[in-house]
Formats: sequence, C-alpha cells, structure tokens
Amino acid sequence: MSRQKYESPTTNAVGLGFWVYLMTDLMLFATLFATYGVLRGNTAGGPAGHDIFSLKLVFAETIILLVSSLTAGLALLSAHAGRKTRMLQLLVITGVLGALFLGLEINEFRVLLADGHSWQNSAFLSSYFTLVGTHGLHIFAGLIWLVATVWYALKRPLSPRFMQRLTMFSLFWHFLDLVWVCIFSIVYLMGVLA
Amino acid sequence: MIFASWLGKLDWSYFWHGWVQFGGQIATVGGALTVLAALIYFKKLGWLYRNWLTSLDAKKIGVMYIVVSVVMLLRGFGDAIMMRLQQILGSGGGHGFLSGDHFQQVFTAHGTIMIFFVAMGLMFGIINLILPLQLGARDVAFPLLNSIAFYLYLAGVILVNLSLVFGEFGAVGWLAYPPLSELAYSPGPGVDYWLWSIQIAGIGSTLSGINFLVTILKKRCKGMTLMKMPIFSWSILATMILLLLVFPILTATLFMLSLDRSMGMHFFTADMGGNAMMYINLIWAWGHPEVYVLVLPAFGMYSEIVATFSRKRLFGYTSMVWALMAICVLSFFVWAHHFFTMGAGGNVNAFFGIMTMVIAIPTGVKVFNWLFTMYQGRVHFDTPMWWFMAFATTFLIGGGTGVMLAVPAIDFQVHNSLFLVAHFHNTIIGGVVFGYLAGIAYWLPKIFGFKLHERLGKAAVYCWVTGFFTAFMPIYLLGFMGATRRMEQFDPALQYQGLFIISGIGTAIIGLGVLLQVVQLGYSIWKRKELAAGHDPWHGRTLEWSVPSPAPEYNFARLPVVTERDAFWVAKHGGPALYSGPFKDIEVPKESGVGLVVGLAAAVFGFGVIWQLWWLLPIALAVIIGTLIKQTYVEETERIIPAKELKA
Amino acid sequence: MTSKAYLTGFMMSLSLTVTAFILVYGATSVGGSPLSQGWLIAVIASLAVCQLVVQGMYFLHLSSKGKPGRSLQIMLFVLVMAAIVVGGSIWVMHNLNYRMMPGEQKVTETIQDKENIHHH
Repeated sequence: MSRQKYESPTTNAVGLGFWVYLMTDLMLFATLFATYGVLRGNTAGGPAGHDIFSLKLVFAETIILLVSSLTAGLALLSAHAGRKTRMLQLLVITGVLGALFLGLEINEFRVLLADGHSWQNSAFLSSYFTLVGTHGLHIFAGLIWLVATVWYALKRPLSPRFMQRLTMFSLFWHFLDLVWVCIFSIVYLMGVLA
Repeated sequence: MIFASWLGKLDWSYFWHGWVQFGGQIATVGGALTVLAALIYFKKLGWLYRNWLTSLDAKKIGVMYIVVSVVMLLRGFGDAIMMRLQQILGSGGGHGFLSGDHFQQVFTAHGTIMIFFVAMGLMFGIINLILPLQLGARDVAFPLLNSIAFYLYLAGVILVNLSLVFGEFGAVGWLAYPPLSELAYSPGPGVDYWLWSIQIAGIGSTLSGINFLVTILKKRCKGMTLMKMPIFSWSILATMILLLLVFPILTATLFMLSLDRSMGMHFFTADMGGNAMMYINLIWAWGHPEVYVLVLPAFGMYSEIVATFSRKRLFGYTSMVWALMAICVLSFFVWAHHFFTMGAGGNVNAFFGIMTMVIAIPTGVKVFNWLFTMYQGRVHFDTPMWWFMAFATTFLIGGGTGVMLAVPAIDFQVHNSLFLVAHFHNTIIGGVVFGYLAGIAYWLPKIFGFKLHERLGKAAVYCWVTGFFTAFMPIYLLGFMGATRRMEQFDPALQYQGLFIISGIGTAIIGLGVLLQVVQLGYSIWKRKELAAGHDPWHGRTLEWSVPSPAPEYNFARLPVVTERDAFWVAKHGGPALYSGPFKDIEVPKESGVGLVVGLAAAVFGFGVIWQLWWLLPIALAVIIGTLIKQTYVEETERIIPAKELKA
Repeated sequence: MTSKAYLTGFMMSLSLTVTAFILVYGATSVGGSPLSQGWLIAVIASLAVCQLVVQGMYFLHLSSKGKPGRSLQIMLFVLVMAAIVVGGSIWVMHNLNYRMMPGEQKVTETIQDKENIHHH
C-alpha cells in the first residue's frame, strides 16, 4: 500500500456536510444515552442489565464490528491505491461482518423476547432496546449503502466522486463503531457490574 | 380479520366532528381544490412543475417556503381568532361555541403551526432568498438537498392540514406532554398527526441546517473572510450551529414518544418505570434553543436594516458577532426555566434562573448597538425601519417580562398563567414576526423587482403594533389576576370577560393589519411597474444590492471579489470594483423531481404510521431509498448558461 | 493514512476491548475482583475513552495539526455540548426523581390499581 497524503474530511463542502451530519447523529445518540442513563434503574420489578446480558455474545459482536471497521478502512486505502478488486473484496468482507453483527444482535433480541423480556415490560427495557436498536438500524442503513456502493463500483472506474462517497461511507462505518464502544462499555459492561 | 388490519385505524367516523370543524374542512379542501382548478384552467400545471416545483434555485425554493408559510399563517391566525372568540364567550357565563376537546385541539394546532410551519418556514424561506447573495455565491452548497428539505417541510404541512380534514389533531398543547400524549390518554390519531408532521419537518430542518452551515463556511466569495461577512450571514451561522445541535434532541425525543405510542414502550408513560418528566426535560432542552433559532435570524435582519436605513455602518460589528455566539452557547444553559415548578431543588432552579438572566445581557448589547448605529445617522423611516421601531419597543417589554419569569419565585406565581402566554407572544411577535416581516419588506424588491407599497405597509405596522398591545396587555393583566392558560371557560364571577373583549378587539386590529398586508401584496403586484425597484432601492451596503432586481437565476454574472466589510457600500463610494474580468459560462443546477418524490413518500410514510397502515411503510421507505440511490447514478446535474447571455 | 496505521489502531482497540471484557468477566465470575465496583466502572470508562481516542486518531484520522484539525475542533465542540445536555439532564432528572418520585415501584403499583391497567 502506498502512503497517501491524507485529506481531512472537512476540506471540501461535501465532506464538511457529511461530517456535520455525523455530528447531528452524535447528538441523537447522546439523547438516547441520556435517556438510558436516567431510566436504566426503572426495571418495574423486572430484570436489570446483569440479569439478561450475555458478555460472551457482546464480546463476539464487538470483535466482529471492530474487524469490520478495520476492513472498511483498508478498503478505502485500496481504493486510494487504485486497487479496485481488493477494495471490492474488503468491502464485501465488511458487509458480511456487518450482517453477522446484525444477525447476532437480532438473535439476542429474539431470545430476550422469547424469555418474556419485551420492550413493553419496563422503561429500562424500552431504553435498552431503543438505544441498541437504533445503533442496529444505523448498521442496517450502512449495509444498504454498502451494497449500493459495491454494485455501483462493479462496472465503474474509481472516479473522484466515487472516492468522496466511499470516504463518507467509511467515516459512517467508523463512527458506528465508536458509538458501539460507548454502548458496550456503558450499557453492557457497566450494566453487568451494577 | 386480515382485511381489517390492512386498513389499520382508518374509520369513516373520522370525517365528521361537528359544524365548526366542517367549516375548517370546507376551507381547507375548498382552498386546495380552487388552487388546483385554477392551475388546470390556466394550463399552468406544467409550468408550475418545470419552473418551480422541480427548481433547485434557492430563490425559488425560498419563495415556495414563504408562500406555504403565509398560507399556514392564515390558518394559525384563524385558530387565534377562534380562541379569542371562545374565551370572550366563555368568560361571561356561557359555554361559547367550542367544546373543551375542540378548544384543546385549536390551541395545540395554533402553537404547532405557528412555530413549526410559519416561523421556521419563513426563516428558511428568507435565508434561501438572501444568504447566497450576501455571500457572493450562486446557490447554496447542496441545491438538491435544499429541495429535499423543502419537501420534507411540505410533507409536515400536508399532514397537519390533513388532520383537519380527516381525523383529529392532538389535544395536548404544542409540545404534547406525556402522560396525556401517551396512548392511554390520547388513543386517537391526533397526537400521531402532531408527532409525525413535526418529526418529518424536523428532519428537513436538520438537512437545511447542514446546507446553510456548509454554504457559509465553504461558499463565500473570494476575499470574504468570516469577519468581513455581512452580519445577517453571521446570525445565520449562529442559528445553524444551534439548530444542528438541538434538532437531533427533538428527533430522538419524538422517536421515543412514537415508540411509546406504537410499540407499547415505557419511556414516558405513567407506569412501568416511565418518567414523563424526562420528556419535559428533553423537549425543553430542544425547545429553548429553538426560540433562539427563530429570533437570531430576525436580529440579523434588524442589523442589516438599521445600518442601511441609518446610512451608517453597523455599530460594534465585532461585539455583535460575539453577542450572537454568546446567545448561541448560553441558550444551552437555560432550558429548565420552562419547568421551574416541576419540583427541582433550589440549587437547580437557581442555576437555571441565573443563566436565564445572563442570556439577556448579549441581547441587550445588540439593542444598544442598534441604537448607537442610529445615533448621528441619517435615518430614513421606510417600512422596514418602522418594523424595527415596532420590534424595539415591543420586544423590550417582552424581554423584560422574561427576566421577571427567570426568577423562580415569581415564576411559581405565574407559570402557565396568561402572563406566560403574553410574555412569549410578546417576544415572538415583537422579535420574530416583526423581524421576518421587516426582512420580507426589505428584501422582496430584490427577488421580485418591485417594492411593496409604502403607505399600506406602514398602515400594516400601525395595525400590528396597536393590535398587539391591545390584544396582549390585557392578557398580561389576566395572568396577574390568576387566569390559567388553555382554558375555554372561566367563572363569570372572576370578571375576566371585559379584558378578553379588549383582547379580542386587539386581535381584530391585528387581523386588519394582516388584511392590509394581503391587499398590499396584491396592489403592489398590480402596480409593479410604478413600484419597480432598481438594483439598489434602499442604498444598501451588502452584495445582494449589487445585482439586478429581480436577481437572475445565477445571482452573479461574474463572482465578486471583496476586500472589506459592507463591500458594496465601499465599492459605491470609491472603493475597489467588485466585478472584473471576462464573462464565463455558468453552471446552474438542473431541475430535479427527487425532492418532490422524497417529500411525498415521507408524507405517505407519516400517514401510514398515524393510521397503522404498516404495509405502507416499507413501500414509502423503498421509494425514498430507491430514489436516492438512483440519483447517485445521475451524472449530469447541471446545465450551462452561456457567457454571451450574461448582461454586464 | 497507511495500512500500518489502521492495523496499529486495530491492535490497540482490540487490546483495550479485551482488557475491559476480561476485567468485567473476572469481576462477575466466582473469582471476584480486587477493585471495588466504583473503581471498576471508572476503569471501564477510561478504557472506553482511550479507545474512542485511538479509533478517532487511527480510523477517523482526527488530529490537532493542519487540515484534519477542523474536524476535531468541530467534534470536540459537539462533544462538549452533548455533555451539557446529557450531564444537565441527568443532574436535573436526578434532582427531580429524588424530590418527586417516591419510588418507581410504588408509583407503578398505585397507578395500576387506580386505573385498572394490567399488563399481560
């Protein structure tokens, strides 16, 4: 891989615009975190975090997402180096890992529901499902974006416009991993400790 | 059974709610059909679609925002008339003509429409018209996003008006506090109409925020550093920073309320661990900055107007910039003053009370700077300046009552009384409404090429000011006398009726003012040749006055180069020329129907959630996502205006 | 922006993640932990902040020097404002809850009795 002179995401208008959008997403998650912080003790006689969280599952999800963040970054690097095939391979791996993450999370939710711990049962559960679920929805949107990107790039050259969009996607994907760091730390790890 | 679920909560009974509502339905549907019929009759549908609906010219989008906002103003004002009338009749021993439930829907609709669809709409409209011109730019940073944002706003407008025709509106106040707004106590579609019209419009607002922020930071013409930017543009920068920080809070909070209502969650319910106070906390963490989002652009407009009509540069430009930024940041530290009475302890209330008083300081700085600008200037009292004078007096009083309310001990007496209602109408009408009307009077000549008739304009100002004081001073008094807000009947022994009648007269005077403005507009269009404005009708100071009126699609035939603040004024008085060099081909954004499709699909999505037509949701989302993905394949997004078409 | 940078960032993030999980797993399993709960939470929080910084530097290329500095400035500003909203909300709600909510369980029971609401 060649050493690329890095251009900050906010250098041009589109990059700045997307960065600002990410900042609004940050505020959205902040609000959901604040709500979780206030409501997590309100279990209405039902289970709290340490009753329902599985550390092994969350660890697996975390590693999967972290690796996918790496592959997304490497995909961008490949694109900068002009290596389209390698970029596509790395993007596909990113997508598979993302889908795997989502699958594990959906299964986690399914098991909780089957055990009778629905979001309808307490404020804690509502805020847990919503915070984690909103992150999952963002991942899902990212996967749609990824599929559209791969499809677009299959028969097209790596134009500057495409590179801009790929950069925005990788920022989005990295951002979601940062949010996940907060989620696994605050929701799962601290939840289990309480 | 399966067929029944396809129809969700739809029910024929939602068409009829009584004769008063029937009048509203006739007005809405009749109005819409009349417009449609006229378009078809005059064969203008195609023209409308090609030249306006699909236009990505910020000026055209701005005009559309303003047109829709004015229509919504008429609806919101209609709500106001109904409330005044009901309270006059209901405070004398009678029942009036509105049931309690209907009255509640009316005041909910009134507040929601005025804030979200009139004030926000006028704000985005005026920014679209003027911001690129002030910055020496041809358009905003993201023209397609601009169109999408407008149509998301329109989707909200459609839903709010649809609630009048079919269904009901929330009967919960413009901020829909839970638990009343939860499913248990508001089972109908009303709160959902409220929720989704604002949610969708709010996403549009956020997108506009990104657009205008990037426009200011990245699209200024050569030589225009931030400190050489016009002060109105600075006010928009401060506004957009604030908007982008707080609208996500609204989005998240509304999202959680909608989850409570549609998926049985318990964020804000009264039981199962829900905490309704958290909603109030979050909604005001958005809500207070929101009122600054509305008023800061008005302050920017006043700054331009005062300087222009005093033929003098703005006093204290730097301190004005600092005041704007200070207000922007400080507005984050005051939100709990909206719920002093909710039971927080002394230290919490004291902190927010003190911060609320502190935020009055930068506003005071601004007022003094305006006055110092006028001092020793040659002041020309055209209509925009009249609006400023109206603002200065009115807003000062409103701000003063605000400082009173900032004291928790006083607030405990008058919270949620008519005193509060008078205070916020005082600041909103005096600050925001007068400001936007001033901005329209000031800048309309640039967009349409003719001035509005002066005498009618001044008569309108008279009516608005006289009407405002006549309408709202009694409301202050009633608040002191103990009258609670949002009540449609009062015991006649309280003897409120006299003051309500005076207030009603004031409302009628305001109505006369509105009527005069409508007449003014029609008359000015009719007499537009006599009222024609050249490119600089007001002896302006900033770049927008250097282009012809009406401004051409591309704003500037040649992009200006700027060396100082008030660049146009400087150039007019011997400074370096703004424009030089050859004319070149100009690229302008090509028309696109993407915004329209996305907006309509969003309205369908909202309708689907409101009526629990779940099958509609994936369809609407697929249309939105599909349209956006398809757009990424479009290579030619611009068309060329050849150099030889450009006039000198 | 090199693959080495991404891999470095990845390895650091991985270490921070594994450390956090091991600490908590150890604390909640039979062995227990020498640290008190309060300290553990502080350590987890610090590990999280470190990882945010690491991922910010190596994945998002945030740095204070030169052009990338803008995006960092913007993000720090937004983080401060987010902290005000989150922190302020928790402060206000804690205060309100303490003074106004007699115990969430009691409120639930009282309301369910009065309103005849029963969840299945």
